[in-house]
Amino acid sequence: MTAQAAGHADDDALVIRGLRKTFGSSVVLDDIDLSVRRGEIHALVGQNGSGKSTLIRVLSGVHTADAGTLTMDGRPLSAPVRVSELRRHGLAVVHQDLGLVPGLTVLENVRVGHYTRSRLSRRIRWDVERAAAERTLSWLDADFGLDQRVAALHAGQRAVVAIARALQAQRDGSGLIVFDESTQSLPREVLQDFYATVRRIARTGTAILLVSHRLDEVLEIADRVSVLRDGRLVLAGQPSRELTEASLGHTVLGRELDRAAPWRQSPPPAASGPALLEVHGLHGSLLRGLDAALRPGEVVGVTGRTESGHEELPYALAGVMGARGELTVRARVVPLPCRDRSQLTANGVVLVPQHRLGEGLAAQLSALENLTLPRVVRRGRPFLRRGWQLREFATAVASMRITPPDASASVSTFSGGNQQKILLAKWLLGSPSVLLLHEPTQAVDVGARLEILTAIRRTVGQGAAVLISSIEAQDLAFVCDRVLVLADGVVVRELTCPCSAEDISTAVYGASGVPDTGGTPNPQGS
Amino acid sequence: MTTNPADDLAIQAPESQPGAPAIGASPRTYWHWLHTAMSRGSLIVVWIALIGLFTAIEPGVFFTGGTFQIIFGSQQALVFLAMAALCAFTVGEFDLSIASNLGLAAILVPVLAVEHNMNVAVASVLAVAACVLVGAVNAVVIVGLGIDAIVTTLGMATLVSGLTLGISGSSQVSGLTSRTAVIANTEVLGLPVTFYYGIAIAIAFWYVLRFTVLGRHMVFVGANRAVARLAGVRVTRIRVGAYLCSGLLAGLGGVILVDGLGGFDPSSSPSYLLPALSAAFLGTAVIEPGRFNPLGTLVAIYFLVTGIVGLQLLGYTGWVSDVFYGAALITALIFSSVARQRLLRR
Repeated sequence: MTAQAAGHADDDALVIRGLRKTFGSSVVLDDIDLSVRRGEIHALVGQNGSGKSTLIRVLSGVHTADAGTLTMDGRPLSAPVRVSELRRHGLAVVHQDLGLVPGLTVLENVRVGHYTRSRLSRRIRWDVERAAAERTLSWLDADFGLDQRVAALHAGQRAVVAIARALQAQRDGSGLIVFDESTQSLPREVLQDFYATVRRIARTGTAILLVSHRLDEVLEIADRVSVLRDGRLVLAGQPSRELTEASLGHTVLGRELDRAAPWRQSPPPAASGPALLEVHGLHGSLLRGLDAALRPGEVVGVTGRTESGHEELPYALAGVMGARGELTVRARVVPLPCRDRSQLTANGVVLVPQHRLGEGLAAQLSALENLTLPRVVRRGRPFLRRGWQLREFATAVASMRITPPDASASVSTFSGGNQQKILLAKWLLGSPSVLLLHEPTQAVDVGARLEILTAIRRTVGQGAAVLISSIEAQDLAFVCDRVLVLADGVVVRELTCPCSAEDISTAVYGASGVPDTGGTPNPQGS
Repeated sequence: MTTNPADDLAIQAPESQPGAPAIGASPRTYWHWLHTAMSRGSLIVVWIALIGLFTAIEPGVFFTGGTFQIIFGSQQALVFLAMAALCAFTVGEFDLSIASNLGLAAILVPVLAVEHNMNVAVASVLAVAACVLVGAVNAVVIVGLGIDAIVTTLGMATLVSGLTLGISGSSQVSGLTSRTAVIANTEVLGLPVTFYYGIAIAIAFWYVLRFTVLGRHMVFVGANRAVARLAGVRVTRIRVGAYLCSGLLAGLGGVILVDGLGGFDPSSSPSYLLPALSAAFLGTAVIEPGRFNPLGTLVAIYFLVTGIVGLQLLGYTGWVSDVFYGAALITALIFSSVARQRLLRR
């Protein structure tokens, strides 16, 4: 435990020196110097494509660095980092999707990779396993049993399982846990519990490296903050109390974070005329007789706690799930459950689902093919010409700033934010009349987020109606004209904007405001 | 161009350039171009090298008109079969019953025509219809009931081969007169006319995938069904169509095969499966790397046959084709997986 590496202080857990990584001709990480101290929560922030994921992959041995050294507790790690070293040094990564196997039990998930085997028979010693997992889970105050299947747990409990697994590599008070966008998949209600757990682990002396998009989250729980921009560290270990959300946003983006919403300057032209889409008594697996109407020229937000029904509404209205109710689109009745979606699509009802690569875009096909898919029937007869497709792509690039502007690159090579822009442009190019979105800004960085919200806002300027289902109170406050708060499958409150993110959070979680992410004292949009 | 929706879209129109291809195109440097050409044509280069190699080893034996007649004149059934496999692969499905299906058609024609004195044309139509029916059963089980495609078509393959053996009494059936072989054996420019059928089918398939709405929809159904469905593509219809089309092509292949040969040995049909799959997978390494594509498959078929014929001329006997096809399938899988990873990763 001697400080051999240059610049190594005694309380440093992980020290990165001169780290460099290139893919082909592009420099992804350029001369990174970073140290994470024992017992601190160190946040690593950056836009999509800034190099965060690559850094984590170098740390966990997926990629080999071109140059630079990694030391853990004063001892150098080999390049590439070996799994056995990760184990020895107590270095663990909790990934965005948590990496659990739903069909297996909590015990199996927690202990995978650490199974103790008896000497002769090589059978797994389940008694030892059970005791080890039990210890960790009781320390984490888990409210579920070892033999429950992960599939039966709710999202907050799953996060605990993933953390418990990461802790298996730790001897108390040592090591480092990387949380790679782990809160993206967590419902807002459990965030405070999650933060409390992370703080508690840090107090034992384990170092925490928290990778995140969410500036408010970073400022709330991190002790120090580092910012990556275009592969360079532009802020290294700044104490978080010296930062504000605005200054941090500026550092991340490299430009001013313009949060003024131009459409707030003039009061919204009271959305008038007959509703484009109207629904009465909508029932689904979570919805319990919901009534709603979307009028031309308005953006309506829907939000609520997990399983309040807001997450189901876009899919129910788009006719892709077996919901029942009276649905009227442009004064025409559409029978639900919907057998033939062509009646909806023909009337310009468009769904932008939450899972970009699951339901939104075909990852291995090109950006061009994905972008033009909804219009090939109309414009592709008698045969598909390339001209109009390239023009559509050029339009999308110009208005949404898609980078790189390479039409033939497959979607998977784009960053998350750019994939989301392609997904949105794919539908906006068809001038929809009703746009239904679910979490359009999930796992998207601040810069792309603004461009996406602005593009959504522009569509209503042309007479469309937009419905956004989201748990991002800030985004809703930024872009919406009305926000519907759902509970138990029905609308329980309607907020008229301008309103603040805090107003929305209070309406959702109650006046105590317990499980809001925010705590940021600058509600914007008012 | 007057009703171009791109002019009044919800998202801001670009400042200019109605026809500027600069943005959509990838960065075109000389090296980029060369790289693209190499990755697209690598198999063709290997093919030419293979021809060169055999010519050098066996001067005067390999590089002759006769050899090329063998190479290009003997693989029509395989072309049809590989296109049938491609039908399923393109839409993300799997059809292992194609070879048995080909055998069914190839045995039904002589059995009906020779043993039951039916008109050959009618027998051929009935044989193809039987194959489409097999495809329809596949579609009902897989698409309709949601059963796994590999297991279903594997079962169907065994079932159909069994039927084929039963119909034929487990022995070779021949005796189709040469008069009926006109549609198969007429020579055009030194090659049987069926060679051109194969080329035509491949080009037609390529055209469909490349230039038609149907083809674009097929590719999306194969890549991501949920995305296709949300975009209004009739996914079920396309999946069912793929199985029907697969049966149709296998049936046509069988009819052409038996017309050319005059008879068919029912126990030989399973041996057609692996070459067809090898060719379809190897085809993903050429022309459009990382994708199932008909022209690449066509190149792959004749590449594989070149290798086998060359080795046979060197004195290796029948076993060499099994070794070559098997090795080619594995190599093809490695190739296409590498090509895909390169496309997907940055």
